[in-house]
Amino acid sequence: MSEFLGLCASGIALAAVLTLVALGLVLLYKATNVVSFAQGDLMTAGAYVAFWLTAQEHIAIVPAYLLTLLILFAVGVAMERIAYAPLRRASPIAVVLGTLGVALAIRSALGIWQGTTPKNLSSPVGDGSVNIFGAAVTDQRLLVIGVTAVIVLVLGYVFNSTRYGRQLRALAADREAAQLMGIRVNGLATIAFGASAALAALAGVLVAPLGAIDLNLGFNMMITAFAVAVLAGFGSIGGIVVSAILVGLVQQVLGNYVLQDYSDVLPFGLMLIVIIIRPRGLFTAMQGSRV
Amino acid sequence: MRKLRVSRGLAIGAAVVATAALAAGCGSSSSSSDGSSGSSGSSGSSGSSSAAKSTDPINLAFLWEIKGESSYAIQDFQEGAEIAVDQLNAAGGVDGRRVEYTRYPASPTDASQTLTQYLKAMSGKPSVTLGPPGPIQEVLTKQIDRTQVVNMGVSPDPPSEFGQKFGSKYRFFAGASLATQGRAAVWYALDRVHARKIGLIYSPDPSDAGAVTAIKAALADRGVSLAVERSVSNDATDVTKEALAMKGMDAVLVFTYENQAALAANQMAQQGIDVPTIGYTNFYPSLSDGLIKRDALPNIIGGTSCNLYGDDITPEARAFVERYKAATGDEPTFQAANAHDSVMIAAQATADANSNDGNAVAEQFKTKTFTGGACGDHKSTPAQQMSSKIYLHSFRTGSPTLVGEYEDPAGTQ
Repeated sequence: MSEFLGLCASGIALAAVLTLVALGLVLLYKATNVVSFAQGDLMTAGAYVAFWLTAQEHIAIVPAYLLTLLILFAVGVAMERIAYAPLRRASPIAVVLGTLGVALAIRSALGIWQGTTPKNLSSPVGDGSVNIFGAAVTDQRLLVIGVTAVIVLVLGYVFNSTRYGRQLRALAADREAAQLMGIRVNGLATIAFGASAALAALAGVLVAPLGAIDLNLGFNMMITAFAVAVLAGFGSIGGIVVSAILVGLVQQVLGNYVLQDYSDVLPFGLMLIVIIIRPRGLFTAMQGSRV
Repeated sequence: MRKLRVSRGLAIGAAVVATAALAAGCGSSSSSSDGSSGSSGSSGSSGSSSAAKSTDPINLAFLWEIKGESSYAIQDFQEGAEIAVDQLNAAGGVDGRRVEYTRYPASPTDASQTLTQYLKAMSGKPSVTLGPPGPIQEVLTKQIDRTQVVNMGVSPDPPSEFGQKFGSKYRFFAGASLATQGRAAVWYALDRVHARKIGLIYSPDPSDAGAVTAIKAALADRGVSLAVERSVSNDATDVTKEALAMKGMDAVLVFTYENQAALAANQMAQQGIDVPTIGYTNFYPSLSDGLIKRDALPNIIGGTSCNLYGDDITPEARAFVERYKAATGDEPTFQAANAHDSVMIAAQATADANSNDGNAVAEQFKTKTFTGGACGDHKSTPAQQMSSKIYLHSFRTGSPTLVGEYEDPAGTQ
């Protein structure tokens, strides 16, 4: 039983990180129609910047983490200016390839800046763990879950109850109509790129203390988060959360009992099944009623 | 071992394309550049097989990148090798011959670029090439066979061992093989821990397949089979399920990349699985990079063919450690020590062969025992690994402490 609970805790912590990355992907997609392949490397960049601020510049952990989010927000804005704005009228494929180019550039720059040696990012809550019905769950995992819950609530409020959120939803529903209504599409895109990068950075600083920072930290997480976004039909926040929990539990719990050596593949198997059965994702009906 | 995180499939795929391209273009480009082709560094091009002792400088080529040249560059090889060159020249050279080198920034990820750098290196007529590190060295096998210039691998790669798919009679390795590392881990688990139930966490990387095969064979020889085995992907950030699967084991063998090895050790300790966790060189960078949590340290046993730790090390190892610290301000890694010893072996073999002839130099590698290295004495195994000894260290105190020495019988047959 303790093993099962431990796996569930691990699966939900994984789901929390996937939620943050997937939210960034979906936020950007809603605002710009772009699926950004730089999201994973922005996550990695967030972890490296946090490491630089805490371990090399000796800034206290919490201010350093907040500063990291601001820096990555700025990186996201710069990315919009450099890789998206000039391609605004280009085909979607060109823009997606542009984000891939940014991803490679970020990865190379990080490697040259910090080298290939894995880095250890300190946790703001230390290395302790709590015993939940016999399963040891680290404080960092609980922090990941807690912070993600707060972010989900905040984003839910922003999307449903603020002017920005309403504009974004209008943009997602009908881009041309939104423009005709006077919504500043370009400004929204810039903010979306910044917010998306900040969400990726948050995922990076939360997940890095669980293991180590290296150049591959974010990429595979992004691919799995992409599966989450597809399951959710690139739709609502609630759909993303549920999909992320589904993927986390499938990978950690089901992967422990079935196809142990292939557990990393299970989320993508799930994604393929959903695409075949419901090409628009599991939560498209919910999305349709909300927009 | 700190491995380069390069997809083997990507590297080999690129290699196939690059090899075809280079093979097609090599003949025309070589004759039009500086008149030297890739094969010009081969037998007798600059060396003489006359009886008179050569006084020409010994010319080595280093095939690796240094920091700043790519995101995958590892600085340790260059630093260890430079220390060896300086050390030899300060002592008057090898048999009076000065040691010189040229470094060529061979990419650990780009097969085409690595082949280009190798061909450039050949124009310098080296007696021995060192590197490149990682699986990319597999793409050079055909060139090495063609040029007949001895190559020293500075990081293990089982498929590149002599007798394996990418092996060459002109390629040697400074350290012990991963198979030897695996047998050392089994020896420690069975003969020191007296474990009856042994678990294995391993990387699915083909490079580690040799170690896993050796582990299973060594256990089978003793009538033991693995109780649990789990593979961990090379970029896993959570190994909770693999750690929990190790409950009830007497010892766990961990043959993964360093990040995942540290993660496995940490997560086992968090789950109260406090049993000897035996790895290989993967745990040393994990320790120096601060990836292993305090609670996990007492469980960990690492294994390396270079004993650079503690007070009870050879004078040569101590001298290397001090030189390295003076030069870089850091503790040396086994990779730096391997590069250091590779230079010393290569220089001595060239001097003893009194020729750049690849067959003559290779014969020295095969038959001689090279002494005075930071990693001890070096003698070729049948797989052309220059070491068959593993030093096992406990990490209990936070720094490696010698707890066992293993001499691989398979390496000395």
